[in-house]
Amino acid sequence: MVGTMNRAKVELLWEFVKREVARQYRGSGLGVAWTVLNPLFMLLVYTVVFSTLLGFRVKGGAGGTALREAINYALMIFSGLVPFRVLSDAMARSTVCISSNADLVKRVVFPAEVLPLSAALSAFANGLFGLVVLLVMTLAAQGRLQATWLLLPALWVVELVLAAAVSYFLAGAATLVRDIVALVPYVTMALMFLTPIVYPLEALPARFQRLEMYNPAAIIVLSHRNAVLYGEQPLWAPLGVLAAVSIVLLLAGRRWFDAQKRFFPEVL
Amino acid sequence: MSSRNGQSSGRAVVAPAEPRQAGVLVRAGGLGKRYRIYKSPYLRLLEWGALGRARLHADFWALRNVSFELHSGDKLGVMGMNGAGKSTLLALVAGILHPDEGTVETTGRVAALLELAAGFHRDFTGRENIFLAGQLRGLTRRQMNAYLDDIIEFAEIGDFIEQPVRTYSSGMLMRLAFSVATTVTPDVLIVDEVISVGDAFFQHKCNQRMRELTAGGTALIFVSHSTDQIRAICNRGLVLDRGRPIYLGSSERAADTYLKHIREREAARAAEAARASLAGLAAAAAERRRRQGFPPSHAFSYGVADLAEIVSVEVLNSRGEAADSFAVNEDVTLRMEAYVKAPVQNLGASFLVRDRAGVDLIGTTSHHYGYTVSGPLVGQVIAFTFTFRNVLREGHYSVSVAVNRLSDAGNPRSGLTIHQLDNVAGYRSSGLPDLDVYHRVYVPVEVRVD
Repeated sequence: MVGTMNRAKVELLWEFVKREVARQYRGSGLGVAWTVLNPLFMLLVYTVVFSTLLGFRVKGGAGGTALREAINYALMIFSGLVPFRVLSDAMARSTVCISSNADLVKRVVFPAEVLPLSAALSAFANGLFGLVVLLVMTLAAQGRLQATWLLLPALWVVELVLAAAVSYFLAGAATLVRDIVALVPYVTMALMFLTPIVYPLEALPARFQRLEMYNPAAIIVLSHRNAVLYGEQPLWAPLGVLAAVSIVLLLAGRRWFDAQKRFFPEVL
Repeated sequence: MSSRNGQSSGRAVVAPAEPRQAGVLVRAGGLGKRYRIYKSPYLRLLEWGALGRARLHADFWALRNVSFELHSGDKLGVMGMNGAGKSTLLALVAGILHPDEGTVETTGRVAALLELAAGFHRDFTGRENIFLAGQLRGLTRRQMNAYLDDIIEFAEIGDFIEQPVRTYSSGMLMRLAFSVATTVTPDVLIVDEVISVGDAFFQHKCNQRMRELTAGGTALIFVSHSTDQIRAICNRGLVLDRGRPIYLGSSERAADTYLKHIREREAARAAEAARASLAGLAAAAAERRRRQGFPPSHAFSYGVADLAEIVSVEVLNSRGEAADSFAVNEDVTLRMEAYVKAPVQNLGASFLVRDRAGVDLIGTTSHHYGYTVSGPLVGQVIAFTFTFRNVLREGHYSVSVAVNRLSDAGNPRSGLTIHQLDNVAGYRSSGLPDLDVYHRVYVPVEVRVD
């Protein structure tokens, strides 16, 4: 993907992604269903709190019944949560991707760069499961397909590149400074509430709305929501900048990771 | 050649399959590996924050000044006590660690067997792990398929190959790991002590495989505590002591140097122990007993050890060297040292030789010979030496020792045990070379037929 990727490396990457995805559901009765159930529970909580209890209203649909409002609100959250979780999931996985394979890193010479990439890819795979559920729910609620759904692959590619870039940096940094592993959940929680996920962008004062255009998560979340729910265009300009920055970050992240990985066997 | 040195962050390269390499396959020059020791993990962060303006660590050189060249077919045996840097050296050559000083270069495919089952995934089957091992080393499933049957056959795993490796015994894991590492013909093969896990039959098979590979041009680096194994397999030897090379040359000379080195270190340690305080002495004694190979569970001690304590037991031959095998009629010397903790009256020692069934065979006490010790000898070490002729038939015998004192000065039978160690040492009787000993003991018998 970045740098040389021969066939054996691709096979190895595939093994790790399979392992990562399988590992998280092994031994749980509902298995893969948790991939879907987990965000649905979050969705339920946020919808009850913000829409039913606090009475926030969002656009979409013909207003009216409280149930209708709740469904609109739930879809707004879910359409942002699905892409956001790809980023937060990749961050969480990448921080431990080296240390959880310490045995390998310390004893075998192998391309360790597949580990952060597999963290990003397994987060991405889980995200795709969520996307399918989101699209089915949207179709059920709105009763029609949106033409803008065709733009989703482009969005998800940008997301994957960004997730991979972040994963390279975090995997290296968290291995060398273990405190980062403990820090990341707070960062992702803060990022989640700073990004218009459980509230619409319009709920923010105008100057903060402008600031959100510098928040990568917000650019992706808002673009995704536009394309999935409202049949509107993604935020092309900021998204284009983000895509370019992500590519640069990915290349830099890979280089930095390669420079750091010689220290991994010593600190593990 | 793939090269790693202290300056660049060069990566270890697993070369694609290619014709066997010839010439110099491993070249280490002034190789060194340094670890930074921080008293607290926060100091590491502080040092980072200081951007090189503060030095808050101590350097520890796990390995330094190691230079050697291995040509095609060379077999280097690496010896050293624990912590000598053997594993660090192997990890550097394998490319897992990177040198902080000097360089190490390798040519061609490097296969390293550093730890049992390293890289195996516990829940995958043996077959899946073979493919995984290949992928980790840069070989695709298709390429690995060509080797699959050979790997399985050599490992002798049988139908277990379809079972998850977590169900494997350590011997099976080792066989599979060794088979994977050596079937895809390496140019440089690095083997840590892992193969000592296998049974004798498979060890022979491993030795045979290593001989075949090196005969075909592979360079071998082999770590073992067994100087016999090094002599049998290697043509060159390297002895490390606390990270520094103390000998590089023929494997024969290296093995001798290593054994001499161990004896010197042991002697230095023993001399150190003799100077040590009570606590140190007792600890050193326990360590020595452990090193003599007596599992603590087999040594049983009782008695009132507050007056004196046995701190060492040795079985020596007539030349005064530690020995564990004696022929019939050879003199056995038992030397024990007792550390005196309180003023004693009529202190003596005794010993007892037992066979495996627990039958007491030989034994006596110093009191019988009129040797007792009295006086304010606190802090001193008293050595008791018993020499007797081995009259026991072929077999293993245990030795128990005790220090005791007489409650009634005149009567050698009225001993009170102070400290007794049961089955603390032992020796093997090798019998008589040209005469079968049918019963427990052999004493020369004069036979006359009239």
